Formats: sequence, C-alpha cells, structure tokens
Amino acid sequence: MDFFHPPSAEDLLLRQAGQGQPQALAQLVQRYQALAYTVALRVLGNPQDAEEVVQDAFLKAFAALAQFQRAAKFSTWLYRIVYNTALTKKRSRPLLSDLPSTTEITEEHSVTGDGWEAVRHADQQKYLALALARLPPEDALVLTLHYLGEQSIAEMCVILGKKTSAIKMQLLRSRKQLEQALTQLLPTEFQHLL
Amino acid sequence: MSQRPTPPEPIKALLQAHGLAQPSAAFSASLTQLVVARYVPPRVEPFRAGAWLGNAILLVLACLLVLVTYAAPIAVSTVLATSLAAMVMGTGSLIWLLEYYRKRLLQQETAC
Repeated sequence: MDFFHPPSAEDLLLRQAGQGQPQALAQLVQRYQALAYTVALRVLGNPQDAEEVVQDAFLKAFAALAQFQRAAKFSTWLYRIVYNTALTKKRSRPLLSDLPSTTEITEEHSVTGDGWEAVRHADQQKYLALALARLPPEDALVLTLHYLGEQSIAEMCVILGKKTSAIKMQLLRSRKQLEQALTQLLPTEFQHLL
Repeated sequence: MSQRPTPPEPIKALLQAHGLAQPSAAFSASLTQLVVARYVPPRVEPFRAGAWLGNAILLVLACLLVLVTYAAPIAVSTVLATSLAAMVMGTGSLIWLLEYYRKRLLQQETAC
C-alpha cells in the first residue's frame, strides 16, 4: 500500500470483492448495473440482449478482477467489457432483429403537446428516448457515456478504442444531432429547456 | 446559416434526469445472486472440526504426562524429570499454536 496515496473507498470495495466478500460483490453490481445496461441497450437496441450482455460482462469482469489495473477506473474497465461484449453479440446475431423500433414510436408521438410544462414531467423521458432513438447507436452511446457515466474523453477513448480527436468530434456531432432531434419533436417546447 | 450548438448543460441535465435505462428488478436480483454464488469462496467447516479434535487429543496427552510425572518415585533421576518437563512444555506449545491458528481462521470467517 502506498503511504502517500491511501486507498479510496472504491479501492477497498474492489479489494473486498476480490477476496470474495458477498456484500462488496453485491454493492459493485448494484452500483454499475444500470449504466452497464444502458450502454448495452444503446449498442443492441433490445432489452433481452442487453441483459444477457450485462450478465456476461459482469461475470467476465469479476473473473478477471485480479488482472484489473488500478491505473484505470473500474467503471471505465467494466464499460469497455460491456461495449466489447455487446459488439460481439451484435455481430453474431441476425440482421433483421437489429432494427430498433424508432419509426413506430415516432409516428405515435408526432403531434406536440399543449406546452412544455405539460410534457415536462411525464413526457420528457419519452421524448428523450425518441430523440436518442433517432441518433445512430454509436452517437447515443457517446452521449450516454459522457453525460450519464461521467466518463472523460480519455476514458471514452479506452472504452470505445478511438482517438481523442475522433471522440471529441463525435461528442460534438452527437450533441448537435440530439438537439436537432429534440427540436424536430418539440419545435417550441425544446427552446424553453435551454 | 450555421446554427450555434447547444451548450452541454441542458443536454446533460436532460440525460441525467431521464437517460438512464433500468434493467428489470428480476434481472437485477438474479444477477446479484449469480455473482455472489460464483465468486464467494465456500466456508471451511471441515478444518474447524479437525482443529477441535486435535486440541482434544493433545489435551489428553498433556494430562497423561502430568499424571506420569506426579506418579514417578521420588528417587527419579534429574535427566528424566527434565525430559518430562520438556515434553509437557512442547505439548503445551503445540496446543497453543493450534489454538492460535484456529482463532485466526475464525476471524477470517467472521470477516467474510
């Protein structure tokens, strides 16, 4: 143990998980499963496949916990495993099931509501899901990792295996695309959000 | 006409409020159970039982040695007395060591 850099709470949790302590293992699963699932869902677009990928990824991660380098964050390492497992799953599955059901949702909600306040609470989630579904999966994934997972550009490079400049460009483009999608769905209401 | 991109804060707030997808509760519970079942090492009951048995045997041996020492005639030689004392001390040390490792094992188990 480094005297000048005492272990963080997460380091202790990882050490306990490595020793096979059930509370630590359960806590790690609870802490990271939602975002791991969201990442898998963005890549695959299917809840069943996403759950399968998350389970495989967690088992792989815990099996290799001894090899985990503390130089990276555990979340970065885990999301990279989730992303790679999801890509493998996506490549191995038939092309037909790959299509997300964006068109049917879009038609269902093409009419805007009476005002932003009306949609603000109940419908925000719905419209965000619609807007994200309009984006290419990789762009939605970049937004998810950066704004939800709070992964830095450098960490996203590790997860997605891309260069810094490519990630920066993709992030900027994705944000603009999401903004455009939201504006199309809610032409007047979206402006109130800004 | 080029459009100015939206500053990241509203998008971030919107995503943080509504962007996280949750897996089903059943899946979440089964994943936790699966991970715990696979990566928690099994308990070490057989060794504990063995340690108790070993302790009991050594205790009986020590008692026998004490009895032999006391039952010996007064005119017994100093060499015999010294060797008997050494045997008792050695047996005592063994018991102490065994007890020490048993306690360490119990501590590890309770930590798990």
